[in-house]
Amino acid sequence: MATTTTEHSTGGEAAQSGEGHSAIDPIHQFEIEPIIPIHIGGLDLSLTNSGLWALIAVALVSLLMLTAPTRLIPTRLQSVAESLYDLVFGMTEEVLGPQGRSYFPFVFTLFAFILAANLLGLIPGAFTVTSHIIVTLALALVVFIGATAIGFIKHGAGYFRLFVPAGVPQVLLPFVVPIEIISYFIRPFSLSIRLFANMMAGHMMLKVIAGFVIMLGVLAGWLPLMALVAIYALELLVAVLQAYVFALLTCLYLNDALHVDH
Amino acid sequence: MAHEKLKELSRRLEQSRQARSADESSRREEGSALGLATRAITELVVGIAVAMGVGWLLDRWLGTKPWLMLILLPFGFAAGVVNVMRLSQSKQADALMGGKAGSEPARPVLDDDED
Repeated sequence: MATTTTEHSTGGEAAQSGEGHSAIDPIHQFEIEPIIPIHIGGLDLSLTNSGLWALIAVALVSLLMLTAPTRLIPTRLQSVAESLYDLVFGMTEEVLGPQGRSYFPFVFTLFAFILAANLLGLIPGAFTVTSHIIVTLALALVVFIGATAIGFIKHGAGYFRLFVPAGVPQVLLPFVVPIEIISYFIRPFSLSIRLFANMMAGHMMLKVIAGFVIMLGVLAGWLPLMALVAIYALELLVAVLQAYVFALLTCLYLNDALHVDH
Repeated sequence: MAHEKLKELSRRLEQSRQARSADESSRREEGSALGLATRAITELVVGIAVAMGVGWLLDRWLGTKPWLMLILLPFGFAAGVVNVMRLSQSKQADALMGGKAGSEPARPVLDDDED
């Protein structure tokens, strides 16, 4: 669903920019602008709007997790922090088993950062850090390279067994092994493209429909406005869900690295 | 005294938790259904796209224009299908579709006498 809406939205965008409505440009929200220019050597290390919102996400999560009071009967803020912790802890334990506890901090950090970035992006005027594929691909590559390294450290060359499923006849191996290798190497791409496409498609859809509200004016504008409210609710669900899916798949990939022969 | 209060609170918490659990689990199922769906779609699309992209790059490098891309394309598709098959056998899909047929509906009895 998400990928098809991307195409629809880009189509709509092309038609609109053809008409010259510069105010309703759904791509504009993804533009990266330097806020504090920093140039060291030949490198452009400027703090951009993307970097700023990533920092805000980190600050917000740190604030929530570190300063929440630890009362027996939790305050609202504390119960938010605790249920986030519970959710991710339950997931890592379920997928990785008790020995996966050492990976919990990593999975939780990923989950909390992506969740905060996704949710902050839904604030009107905010920048969605996770709507850029370079950000999500970097996160996914950390997971992929990390999991692969862990697999080779734990199993040595035995990790290659992942590409040779048990019980496959010799004749089929020339076909099965390339398929397994490809399906292993597409992991970081499916992980990053899923998150990025969901966030970008959702935000473009919101912008396009918000454009309809303005174009149709007071007379008929309330119709897309109602749709906008519904889609915004859906986007809230997607923001939480995609953060969860990212963390879940991180666990599954780590599980493959820990238990090659399951 | 404080102990009594806590007991009372945990009793009330348990009550409202039970009343809410059915509603909540159905909402969670909807969410994870959407999650599974987006996973299946990206798996299929990305499998083909990555295999074609790698084939195209290798072709450009080795000067074998369309051939490696055409050879890798079915493998990419197969990898996507394999991933979706694995997904359909995963714990998450099992939890959603109730594993073997018919073993699922565990909610109605408790719920009915509450209402």
